[in-house]
Amino acid sequence: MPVVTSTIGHTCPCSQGEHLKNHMKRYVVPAILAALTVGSFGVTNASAKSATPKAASKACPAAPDAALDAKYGVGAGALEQALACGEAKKLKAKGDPVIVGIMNPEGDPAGSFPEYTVMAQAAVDYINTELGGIGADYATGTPGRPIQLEVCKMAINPADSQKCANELAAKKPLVVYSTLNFFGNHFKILNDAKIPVVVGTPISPGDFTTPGVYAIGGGGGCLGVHTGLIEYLTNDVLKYKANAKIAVPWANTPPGVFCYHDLEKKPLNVLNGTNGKNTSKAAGKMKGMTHIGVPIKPGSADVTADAQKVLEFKPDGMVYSAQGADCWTFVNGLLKLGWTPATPLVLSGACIDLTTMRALGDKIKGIYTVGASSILDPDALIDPQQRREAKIYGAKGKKYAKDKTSLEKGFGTQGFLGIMTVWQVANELGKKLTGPALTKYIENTTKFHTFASTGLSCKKAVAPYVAVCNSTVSASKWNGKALKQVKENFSGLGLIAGTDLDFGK
Amino acid sequence: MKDAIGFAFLGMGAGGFIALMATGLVVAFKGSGVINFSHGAVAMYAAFTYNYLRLDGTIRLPLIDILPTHQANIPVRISLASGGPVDKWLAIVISLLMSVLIGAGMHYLVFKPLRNAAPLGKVIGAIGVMLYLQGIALVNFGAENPQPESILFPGDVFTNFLGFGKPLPFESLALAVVAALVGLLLWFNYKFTRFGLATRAAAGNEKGAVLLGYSPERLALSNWVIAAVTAGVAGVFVGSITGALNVVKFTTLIVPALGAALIGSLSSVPIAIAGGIGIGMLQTVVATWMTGQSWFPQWLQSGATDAIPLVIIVLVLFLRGKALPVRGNIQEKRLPLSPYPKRIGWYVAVFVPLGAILAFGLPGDFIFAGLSGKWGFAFTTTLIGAMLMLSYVLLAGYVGQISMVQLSIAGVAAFFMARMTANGTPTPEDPFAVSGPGLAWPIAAILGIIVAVAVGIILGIPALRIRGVQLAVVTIAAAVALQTLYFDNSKLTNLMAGSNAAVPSPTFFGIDIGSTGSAGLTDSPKFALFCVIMLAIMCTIVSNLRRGSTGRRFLAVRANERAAASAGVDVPRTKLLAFGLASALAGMAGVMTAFQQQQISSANWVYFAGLVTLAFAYLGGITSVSGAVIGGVLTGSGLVAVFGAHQSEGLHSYTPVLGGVGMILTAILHPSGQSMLYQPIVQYFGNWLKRARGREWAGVGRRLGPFIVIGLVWGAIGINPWRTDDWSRPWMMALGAFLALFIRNLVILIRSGGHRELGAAEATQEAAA
Repeated sequence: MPVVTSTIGHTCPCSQGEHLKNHMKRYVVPAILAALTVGSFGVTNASAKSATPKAASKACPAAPDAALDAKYGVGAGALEQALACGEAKKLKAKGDPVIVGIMNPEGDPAGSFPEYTVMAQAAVDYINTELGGIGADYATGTPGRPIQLEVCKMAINPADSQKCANELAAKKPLVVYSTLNFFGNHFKILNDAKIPVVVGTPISPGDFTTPGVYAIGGGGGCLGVHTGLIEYLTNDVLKYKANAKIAVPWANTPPGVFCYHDLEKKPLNVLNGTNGKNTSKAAGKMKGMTHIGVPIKPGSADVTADAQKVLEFKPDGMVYSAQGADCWTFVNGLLKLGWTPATPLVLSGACIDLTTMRALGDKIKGIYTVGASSILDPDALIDPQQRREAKIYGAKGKKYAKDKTSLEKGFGTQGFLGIMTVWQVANELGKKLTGPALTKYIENTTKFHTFASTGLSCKKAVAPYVAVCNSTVSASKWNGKALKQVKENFSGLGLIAGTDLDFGK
Repeated sequence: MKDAIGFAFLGMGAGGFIALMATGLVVAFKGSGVINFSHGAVAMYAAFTYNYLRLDGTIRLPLIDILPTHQANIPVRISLASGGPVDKWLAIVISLLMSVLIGAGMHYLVFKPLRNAAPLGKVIGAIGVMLYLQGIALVNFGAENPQPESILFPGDVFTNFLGFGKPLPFESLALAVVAALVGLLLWFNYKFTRFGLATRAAAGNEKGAVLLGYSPERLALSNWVIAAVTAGVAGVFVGSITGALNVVKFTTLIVPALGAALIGSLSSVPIAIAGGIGIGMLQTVVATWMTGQSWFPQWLQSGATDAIPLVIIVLVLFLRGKALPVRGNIQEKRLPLSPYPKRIGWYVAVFVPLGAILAFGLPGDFIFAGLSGKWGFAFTTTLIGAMLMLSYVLLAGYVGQISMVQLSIAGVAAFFMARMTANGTPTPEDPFAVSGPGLAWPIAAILGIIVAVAVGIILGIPALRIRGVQLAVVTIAAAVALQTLYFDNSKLTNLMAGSNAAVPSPTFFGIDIGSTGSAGLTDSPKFALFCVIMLAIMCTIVSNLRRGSTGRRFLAVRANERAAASAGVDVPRTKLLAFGLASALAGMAGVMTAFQQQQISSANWVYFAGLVTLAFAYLGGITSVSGAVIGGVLTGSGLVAVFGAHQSEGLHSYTPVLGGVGMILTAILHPSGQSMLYQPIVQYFGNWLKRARGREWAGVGRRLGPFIVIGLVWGAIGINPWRTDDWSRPWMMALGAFLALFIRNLVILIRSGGHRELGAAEATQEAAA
């Protein structure tokens, strides 16, 4: 009889069968857990019935209004026609679905953004239920094909990023929407499979520089936002003040190093005249201006010392761009050391967190944000067409979102807008609804009007940022209770025109 | 210098936090000999609890409502103030009570059952708790990153603290003072109270404490609760100092706290407190002042701050290595037996063709066309994961050295190889080209593995003086240092703007054996076969090592170093040999990962993932080659993960929770891992299948068939209407059948008094046998 060691450590002179019985006993508890676990399939909340505000009914135009195209960019008329016709009479999509893939980080403690897919699905439902899907003919009331969203939820690690690319590519989608991806290792797979990729929130270097990839999210990542921060602070806030002192705390991450050196430090050197290789009209306009860069490591135990380093410089103005919540950790550090908004601070749009901002209230009254326009408060927008579309976002997002809290989250907004943009572009393709056709159309866009956002101009993307299609930004000011837009649709890209890349080596 | 001192004082807040965390680590170690890697997660849960009490007055219990109905629910949320915030001090009390609950739960559910487990089992238990708490927090609190409010003197600031020219927020000083007070209180408690003396007695000699009438379990419970409360205090009071809350934040700050705890020899709370505050101040000075000095080496600017804990830990271990306490236990289990590998040739003869079939499919692709798309990627990920697991098997399973740096060593090989293959030519796809000698891939790969071996041996040197969990602490600190000093250091990697390192596709006599398949996906069957062959070779090497004299020396060192030395085994040489060989295996895994993904970054080798990888190796079975293969199957993005995601969309949010529970259960119930669990089951059913004829099959059908049918119907019309998810009806039917069989067996078990859980037929067969 064989002697085997049992799981509780004593030697058990038992047969294999008895040994198996011991195993089974030991697994009664796990089996209960397993049973309960299997039962957990059903643990989700039933969605509450949504109340949709009644939109003002509009007549369905017979054709797109060319005047809108001229005023708001190519495609504005077609979009308005679709929106108005949908309001007048819902047009439900029919036929074979068009697959759109979306890969998004969800369910990982290191980062989870379910609002992205919740709102993307809301946009799909809105399009399929009211706007007639892709390729609808509003003049005749003929519906187009519905969009089918294929979601790949990924953990934040490079292997999962590639896994999702493989999974989605195998489903032969028209396009893959990459929400936010820290690795950029999925592009090669999708490019090799000849599937166009659009990026919602550009973060990794590949999001900006990979051919065949199109960053459609408003603001254009650090390219648009960082140069926009410098442009707004120096031009609009400091009015090109001579001998000014500017502090630039920056996120000490590998992309952060590049974004700081190339897109903040370099334009400041252009402005003070120490970088001669520049064709900008603003070159040398701030002679004598000095600046300091203070690296801040995300996730640090305490950034008070970094904040002190910034304040010791006695700056006339500051800019800071970081990943969401890190901004407010730093601002809190400044506040603790006695800073007030009398020293202007311009933050990137990624910092907008209305809950935190409301909690800080008047303590931060007067700070600015620069980035894609926030559409959460439509009345704060200057552009009337964008205001109208932002209101539609509020109404339809509320109606179709399965989780209403996603509606007011920044990534939720981007999820909705991204799908609307994909739908708009797909509508322009007519019957040539293929990946290569979509690629060709996107890469040739110039001021293509996108739903509630700034226009796509992929054709004007500059090397090496060949993927950045939307680098126009807007500025808003916090009045203690809300953000009010103070400048719309500007760009700081001119500040780096003609300069060499600075990697910060 | 005045400037430096001024900045040092500004680091007192961070120091206070590290000190409080270190205190909890010391107390937990005193109480039960566990280095609690989940300590940061406890602090996180308390901090989130406080935050949401102040936000909406809701307590979120660290549970999941796993019942799929609206009718019967497990209470998870308790609302105290009708959606409004509760009083600050009441919120603090409740948050600390939450810590008490978690501490007691950890003791009763995890560490009490693991009380006499091998140190590695306790480490896995702690990692399991960490994953569980992080997963629960993600489910209960969402992915929000709220800014916690300041509790201690918000808004007040010393404008020129002690005349050093720098301001200091009251809050930073207050946190350091709170840490000091907690330390003083605990010092008094352990020095002068009966409980404290008993804890110290049990920590020194648990048997002696039992003989004196103390219950080590009660002492452990009390100490777990105290440790959890210190974590709670740290999480709640650190307030706005550490900034935005997130699920992993405090966990990533555990390494400096471990350094502080080791300064206090894992026994002295006051020294750990002083060490913690000192580390916080030192890190601040290095980050804000020292790295800005002209004399400071440029290449060290990235990562110098994060390397401080490693430097301190290594210094402390070298200076005080022999004085470090190895806590006394009544009985400490050793690692599970390492089975003697048999019939290796047969296994390889089956494994390689099977792997080839999975990769290429069957001829004509009629029945099976091979794994493609995500399945092809998951297959190669599994094979590469198994290669990495082999390094854990060799190092931890055979030699007993708990290393958490193997994943980082894999990264060293991959990064070095990528640099060696680079030639500095930019392309449209890779505008940030890396400079390098442009070597051929086989030479570059071998060089990468050699460098990995060198790094592994260097990191193995501390193992000559320490072992067990202390070695785990050193290796996790080393993993942090490798990440920040090498992988994230553009001065060394030449990777600009955080771009990925490109890796060329390997070729073999002109045939592309890279991972890109014909449709552009990462599913090339040739690469899968390449992985299968490499894994088969590595498994054969490791099995032969185990069978030979080297393996016997390894096991001798694992069992008892002194006995091994007295038997003529050169223990230091054996340990370094193991570190070198394990690093070669890890390096091979790193090189293959690089070939598979073709673009690598520091994110591939995050130190934090190293903990989870070790846990996967343990889950698979850390003492056997078959365990490594199962560990590979379980690895992230491997076959099980992809299958799970494919079949169970509803479970996606619960993956970390289930992973944590799985680790804890494995550590408690089956420390030898899944491979040892399946072995007897497979053997038993294999034997049954060999014997079974029509009569036996009919017997099974008679016994189980009615229950399966009832279960299927129950699932379709009983469970399906009540579910609240979007699972399809067939799954509910399968659930019904599973539950019906489960209930049947449970009833049989209860009726037979626990003696006949296998049913009459099996008993008859056993009797016949």
